[in-house]
Formats: sequence, C-alpha cells, structure tokens
Amino acid sequence: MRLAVWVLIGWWLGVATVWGSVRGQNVGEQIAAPKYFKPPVSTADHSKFEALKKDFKSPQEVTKACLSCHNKAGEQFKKTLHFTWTWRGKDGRLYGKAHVINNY
Amino acid sequence: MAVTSNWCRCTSCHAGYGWKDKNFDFNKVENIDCLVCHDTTGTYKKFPTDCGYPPLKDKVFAGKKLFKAVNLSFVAQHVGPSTRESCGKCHFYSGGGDGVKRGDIDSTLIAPDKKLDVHMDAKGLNFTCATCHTTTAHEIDGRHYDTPAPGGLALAFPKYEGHRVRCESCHGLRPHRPKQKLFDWRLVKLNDHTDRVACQTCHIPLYARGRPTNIYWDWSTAGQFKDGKPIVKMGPLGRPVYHSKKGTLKWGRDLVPVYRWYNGTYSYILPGEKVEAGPEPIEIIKPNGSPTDPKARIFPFKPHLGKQPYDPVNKTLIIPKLFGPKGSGAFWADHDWKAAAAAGMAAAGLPFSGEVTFVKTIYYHALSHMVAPKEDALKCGACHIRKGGRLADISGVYLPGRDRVPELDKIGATLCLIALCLVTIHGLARIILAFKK
Ligand code: HEC
Ligand code: HEC
Ligand code: HEC
Ligand code: HEC
Ligand code: HEC
Ligand code: HEC
Ligand code: HEC
Ligand code: HEC
Repeated sequence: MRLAVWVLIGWWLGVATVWGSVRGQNVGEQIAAPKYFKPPVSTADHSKFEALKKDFKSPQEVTKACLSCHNKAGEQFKKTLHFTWTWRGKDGRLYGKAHVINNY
Repeated sequence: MAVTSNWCRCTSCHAGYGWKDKNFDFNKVENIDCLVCHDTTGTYKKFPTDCGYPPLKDKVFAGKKLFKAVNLSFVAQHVGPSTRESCGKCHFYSGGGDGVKRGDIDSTLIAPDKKLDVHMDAKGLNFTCATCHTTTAHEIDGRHYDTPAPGGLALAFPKYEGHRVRCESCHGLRPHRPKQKLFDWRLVKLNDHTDRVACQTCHIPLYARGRPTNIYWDWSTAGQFKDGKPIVKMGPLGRPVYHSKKGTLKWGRDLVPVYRWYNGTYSYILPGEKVEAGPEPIEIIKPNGSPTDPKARIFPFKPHLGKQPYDPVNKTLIIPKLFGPKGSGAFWADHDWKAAAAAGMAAAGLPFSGEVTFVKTIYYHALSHMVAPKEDALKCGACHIRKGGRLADISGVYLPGRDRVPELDKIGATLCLIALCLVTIHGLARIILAFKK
C-alpha cells in the first residue's frame, strides 16, 4: 500500500513537471523587436535655431548656446561618471578613472 | 597607468574641455562637451593631447596624423541622438588605440554585420550603444566600479523600468522558446542554465573578432633606442610587438575567454594601497563573485597581463608620469623610470621610496559585446566534457559530463548489482519451484 502511494505521488510529480515546462515555454510566442528601440522622431531641427547660427570661436560658447535651451542638461551631466571620473565606493574609498590605476 | 600627472593626454577622452591639472573646475558647466556625444556629422574629433579640446585649426598629431579643424557652427547645427560612432570616439580607442583595451568594443562596431554583432548589425536591428545603455538625465546605465548595472527581468517592475542594459531585461530569464514544436527538451535544458551561467558565456564564444586586442603589456622593456632613434617593431597582426614608448606587447584575435564567477561588481587595487608582489600576478582589477553567491553567474572575461612599475619598499603600485615636456620627469620625454615615478607619485601626493621594480599584474575585462548569431552559441560539448572543456577550472557546480561523484557512481553500481542478484535469485526460485510441482 505504502509503495503504491509513493509510485502515485512520483507519477503526478512527473506529470506536473512536464506540464509546467510546456506551459513555461510560452508556446509560439515570438521575440519581436519592441517599438521603443527606435528613438522618437525629433520635433526640432537644430540648424534652424538662431542661437546656433553663430560663428563660434570656442567650444565653450557652443555649450553655453545648448544650455540656453537645455537648461538642465549641464546640472545633470556635471554629476555623472562621464564628467567627474569619480565614484564613491560603498567602502568609502574613491574610485573612478581619476583615482584608479590599470596596466595599459 | 593612471591619469594623475598625465592630464592633457588622458583627458582627451573626457567629455569636457581643459582638464589640464588637478584644479579643473567641475562646477563650470560650459566646460561640458555636448558635441562629442551628440555630433551626427562625424566631423567632430578631440585632439589627442589637448586636454579635451577639439582642433580649432588644422593640427598634426605625432608627426603624421592630420586632425582637420572642427567647424563648430556646422556641428552645433547638426546635433542629434548619440550614435555608435560618437560613444566609440572614446570607447573604441581606450587603451591607446583601436580595440586595444576591451576586445569586445572596437571601430568595426561602427557598421558591423550580423555575424559580428547581432544587435548592432547595421542592416538589421541596428542598435546604438544607448539602446541597451539606457540613459535618464544623462546617467548612462552600466556597471560602475562596485555598483552593478541596473535592471533585471523583462517584467515591468517599477524598479526595473527604463533600464535595459542587462540581457535579461529584454530577453527574460527563460529566453529559449521553440518556434515550431510544442516542446523541446534541449531548449528547456538551456533555460535551466540561466541561474548559474550568464547569457554572455554561451553567446560570446570568442572575443576580439573585430580588431586585434592587446593581451600582454610589459612596460619594463620600454625606453630602448637604436642609434638614438625610437624602435617600433611590427608584429604579424599589424600591431607593434615592441615600441620604445610602451615596451613589449602581445596581441590576439578570435580568442577564447576565461571564465570566472561574477556578481556584477569589481574590486580594485588603488595607488597607495599596500600589496605584496608574489610569483602570481597581482589582480589589480578583478570581478567579485563565488558559487555560493546567488547573484553570481559564470561569466566570460578577457584577461590582460601586464608588467608595471612598483615600489618594493612601500609595496605600492607606482603612478609614473608618462606625458610631458623634456625635463619634467615624463617617461616619454626623459626615459627614466625613477624620475617618472618621482614626478607621478609627487603629483598624486603619495610616498615614493626612490626604488622601482616591475611586478606582474592582471586585469579582467567582462565581455558583453559582439554577441554572435544563435548558430554560433556554445554547444553542449564545449562544457559538458571530461577534459579540456571551457569550464575546466570553474569550481562550485556539478557539471554532468565533466564531473563525477565516485560515491554516487558506486551507489549506482551497487544498486545495479543488488538488482541483478535479486533477479537471479527470483528467477532461480521460480525455476526450482517449477520443478517442485
Ligand atoms: C533654441 C533652443 C535649442 C538650442 C539652442 C539647442 N536645442 Fe537641442 N533641442 C531643442 C528642442 C526644443 C528639442 C526637443 C526635440 C524633441 O523632443 O522632439 C531638442 C532636442 C535635442 C536632442 C534630442 C535629440 C533630438 O534631435 O531631438 C539633443 C541630443 C539635443 N537637443 C542636443 C542639443 C545640443 C548638443 C545643443 C547645442 C549645440 C542644442 N541641443 C541646442 C532645442 C534647442
Ligand atoms: C569623451 C569620451 C567618452 C564618450 C564620448 C563616451 N564615453 Fe563612456 N566612458 C568614458 C570614460 C573615460 C569612462 C570611464 C569613466 C570612469 O571609469 O571614471 C567611461 C565609462 C563608461 C561606462 C561605464 C564603464 C565602467 O567600467 O564603469 C559606460 C557603460 C559607458 N561609458 C558608456 C558610454 C556610452 C553608451 C556612450 C555614448 C552615449 C559613451 N560612453 C560615450 C569616455 C567616454
Ligand atoms: C581614446 C580615449 C582614451 C584615452 C586617450 C585614454 N583613455 Fe582611459 N579610458 C577610456 C575609456 C573609454 C575608459 C572606460 C573603459 C571601460 O570601462 O571599458 C577608460 C578607463 C580608464 C581607467 C579606468 C580603469 C579601466 O581601465 O577601466 C584608467 C585608470 C584609465 N582609463 C587611464 C588612462 C590613462 C592613464 C590615460 C592616458 C595615458 C588614458 N586613460 C587615456 C578612454 C581613454
Ligand atoms: C557621454 C555622452 C553624452 C554627453 C557628453 C552629453 N550627452 Fe546628452 N545624451 C546622451 C545620451 C546617451 C542620451 C540618450 C539619448 C541618445 O542616445 O542620444 C542623451 C540625451 C540627450 C537629450 C535628449 C533627452 C533628454 O534628456 O531630454 C538632450 C536634449 C541632450 N542629451 C543634451 C545634451 C547637452 C546639452 C549636453 C551638454 C551639456 C549633452 N547632452 C552631453 C549622452 C551624452
Ligand atoms: C545588446 C546590448 C548592448 C549594446 C548594443 C551595447 N552594450 Fe555595452 N554593455 C551591455 C551589457 C549587457 C553590459 C554589461 C553590464 C553588466 O555589467 O552587467 C555592457 C557593458 C558595457 C561597458 C562596461 C563594461 C565593464 O567593464 O563592466 C561599457 C564601457 C560599454 N558596455 C560600452 C558600450 C558601447 C561603447 C557600446 C556601443 C558601441 C555598447 N556598450 C553597446 C550591453 C550592450
Ligand atoms: C548553456 C548555454 C546558453 C546559455 C546560458 C544561454 N543561451 Fe541562448 N542560446 C544557446 C543556444 C545553443 C542557442 C541556439 C538554440 C537553437 O538551436 O535554436 C541559443 C539561442 C538564443 C536566442 C535565439 C532564440 C531564437 O530562437 O531566436 C536568444 C535570443 C538567446 N539564446 C538569448 C539568451 C539569453 C538572453 C540568455 C541569458 C538569460 C541566454 N541566451 C543564455 C545557448 C545558451
Ligand atoms: C535592448 C534590448 C536587448 C538587449 C539588452 C539584449 N538583446 Fe538580444 N536581442 C534583442 C532583439 C530585439 C533581438 C531580435 C529578436 C528577433 O530577431 O526576433 C535580439 C536577438 C538576440 C539573439 C538572437 C540572434 C540570432 O541569431 O537571431 C541572441 C543570441 C541575443 N539577442 C543575445 C543577447 C545577449 C547575450 C544579450 C546581453 C549581452 C542581449 N541579447 C541583450 C534585444 C536585446
Ligand atoms: C557554458 C558551458 C555550458 C554549456 C555550453 C552547456 N552547459 Fe549544461 N551545465 C553547465 C553548468 C555550469 C551546469 C551546472 C549548473 C547548474 O546546476 O545549473 C550545467 C548543468 C547541466 C545539466 C544538469 C543540471 C540541470 O540544471 O539540469 C544538464 C542536464 C545540462 N547542463 C545539459 C546541457 C545541454 C543539453 C546543453 C546543450 C544544449 C548544455 N548543458 C550546454 C554548463 C554548460
């Protein structure tokens, strides 16, 4: 009797596993490229902006012109790793390209 | 090497202008270089030794390469989203040349075919870097030192929203699905791997498939001259195997990665930190992770071996001054390691004993780019094989085919034996009983 119960339990576990895997396979579902992979079409043509139709003498003047419209970009970017090259580690030490050393 | 004391050479890959010493003002937002990432004309370049400035008149670099003056107004009027080429202006050439450092990011990714990279395939999916490296308020997603890359499952949990840099964040944790059949055991088994084996491990079977990459860099031999002239000896891959400024170099193409447990974070040895030099290379930049860490996966890496200056008294790695005018101690001008070490360490405010030796070091680069088409993914036999498999030196998992548990084998054999005995006894009994009737 004991044996019979175990065999039955084993059988149902087996069936459940196979069924579960089939279900888990999302049969026939295709991995299609979702739409958000393309950046949205821009609503601005930068060559028409007066602020950019200047004879820039230094690259800083260009940045100032960009920031006259994109007035938060500067404050955002200046805090990022790409500008500071500094990363405060969880151990309190300073990492970042300006602080670490490599073997190149 | 390190940036301190070599500013204007190394900050030519800074998204800013004029970082020429440690007094650069990070609060002056006009010093941000917007154009380097947002130029769409392909005419914007930074001059290699001008502290991040583009050439404003025609200029020659290292006596041969001409950098044309950048037309700032033209570039400013043609800005747009970042491209592979714009990120690549810095990332393709890190380490001092095309493909030198990473082995999975080089200029062939400007217009790759599907064979080289299924995602950036110019005629196919045509991803830009930012398609995966999702960017919000200019925080570009990626692994930053001890902080893992954000994102996770394909499920739209709020905490994962807007982050797509991990393979799983687009493909999910069970990415292998049958196309025609209802059910495919092989794909089920493949999916069972993803909790221990990273996607990259199977899908990046080889690295340096674009350009040759540097695998060994021995600085100790740098500074030799022939008749007072610098030596540049080219190797078979069209890359220098000896260079008076750099030392002895080795290159490779289509290389098999090494595999390590990796949980998405790294450890670094910082300049000034005490480190013993032994016979084994010092692991200056290495991935963290172990088989008992549920976040860790077996991951592919490019190992980079080096031999670099070391202070045997203070037991620290040395920051040498490489770039600078004659008489400044710069190694590339004065060719004296002790002077270069003294100048570099002074600029970094670190102690220096006056002694210079060279130590072996190793740096592991995690590979995530140049994902090969699915046909080229690793076959079962590449890992599940008794000897010489890709994961031969990975410990902490039971790998059927590679490993065997002698006790288990014995138990199995004993069970078979017992079964055989029982069958024999049973059979005999029936035969005897049959005769008895
Ligand atoms: C006169 C205002 C103005 C100036 C000056 C300006 N922009 Fe823009 N820019 C816009 C607007 C408006 C949008 C929004 C377009 C959209 O969302 O469809 C935009 C969008 C962008 C985008 C998003 C991609 C795209 O093409 O839509 C980038 C990148 C960008 N600007 C960069 C710059 C940079 C770099 C500069 C400096 C050279 C600059 N902008 C100067 C107004 C300006
Ligand atoms: C002006 C040169 C430059 C440009 C352009 C640039 N990067 Fe970087 N990037 C760097 C440098 C230098 C670092 C290393 C910063 C550090 O470690 O402190 C870096 C770091 C990174 C990291 C983090 C890597 C790590 O090891 O922590 C990612 C991810 C990254 N960049 C992606 C991009 C993407 C995507 C683009 C294009 C939109 C881009 N970068 C454009 C220079 C650049
Ligand atoms: C052509 C652009 C470029 C130049 C020039 C350059 N770097 Fe880098 N550097 C990078 C990029 C890109 C990274 C980010 C690498 C990554 O994570 O893949 C980086 C990262 C680093 C790091 C962080 C550790 C690492 O290797 O990821 C150090 C240290 C470093 N560079 C030192 C230097 C020094 C010293 C110089 C000057 C001799 C220099 N770099 C010149 C592009 C450059
Ligand atoms: C290290 C590269 C990098 C630099 C430098 C950089 N950006 Fe961006 N920027 C990006 C990336 C990546 C995105 C995301 C979309 C894309 O792929 O362009 C972005 C998006 C934008 C957008 C559109 C999305 C938004 O947030 O509104 C604007 C506008 C923009 N940047 C302006 C600027 C300006 C102005 C500067 C200079 C102050 C600048 N960027 C400097 C990488 C950069
Ligand atoms: C198919 C998606 C994808 C594309 C496209 C992509 N990357 Fe990545 N990138 C990744 C993944 C995944 C990682 C690993 C993140 C992690 O550590 O978990 C990564 C990591 C990086 C790192 C940091 C590596 C490190 O040492 O940890 C850099 C730098 C980087 N990418 C630059 C780029 C550049 C430059 C491009 C464009 C030429 C690019 N990536 C395009 C997916 C992508
Ligand atoms: C043990 C090795 C292995 C691991 C780990 C692995 N894959 Fe695969 N993958 C394969 C093989 C082999 C194929 C080709 C399957 C076939 O024959 O159709 C494949 C196919 C694919 C395909 C193409 C599916 C199709 O039918 O178009 C995608 C997408 C994919 N893998 C993504 C991933 C992602 C994402 C991960 C990590 C979560 C991953 N793989 C982990 C081996 C692996
Ligand atoms: C930004 C989303 C995104 C990320 C991140 C991403 N993929 Fe994909 N991947 C896709 C899309 C979309 C396809 C095309 C699916 C199709 O053709 O049906 C694809 C296709 C693939 C294929 C099948 C290629 C073939 O031969 O048809 C493989 C393998 C694959 N990805 C592996 C990876 C690996 C490994 C990573 C992590 C390094 C990764 N992907 C990260 C979106 C992504
Ligand atoms: C990159 C190396 C690699 C490749 C390629 C690979 N495996 Fe594995 N496999 C492993 C590792 C590591 C484990 C142990 C980790 C675990 O328990 O999930 C494992 C475990 C297994 C197991 C037993 C544990 C379980 O989770 O079921 C089976 C069965 C298996 N693999 C079958 C396959 C088949 C079939 C293929 C080819 C379609 C394959 N493997 C390809 C590395 C690999």
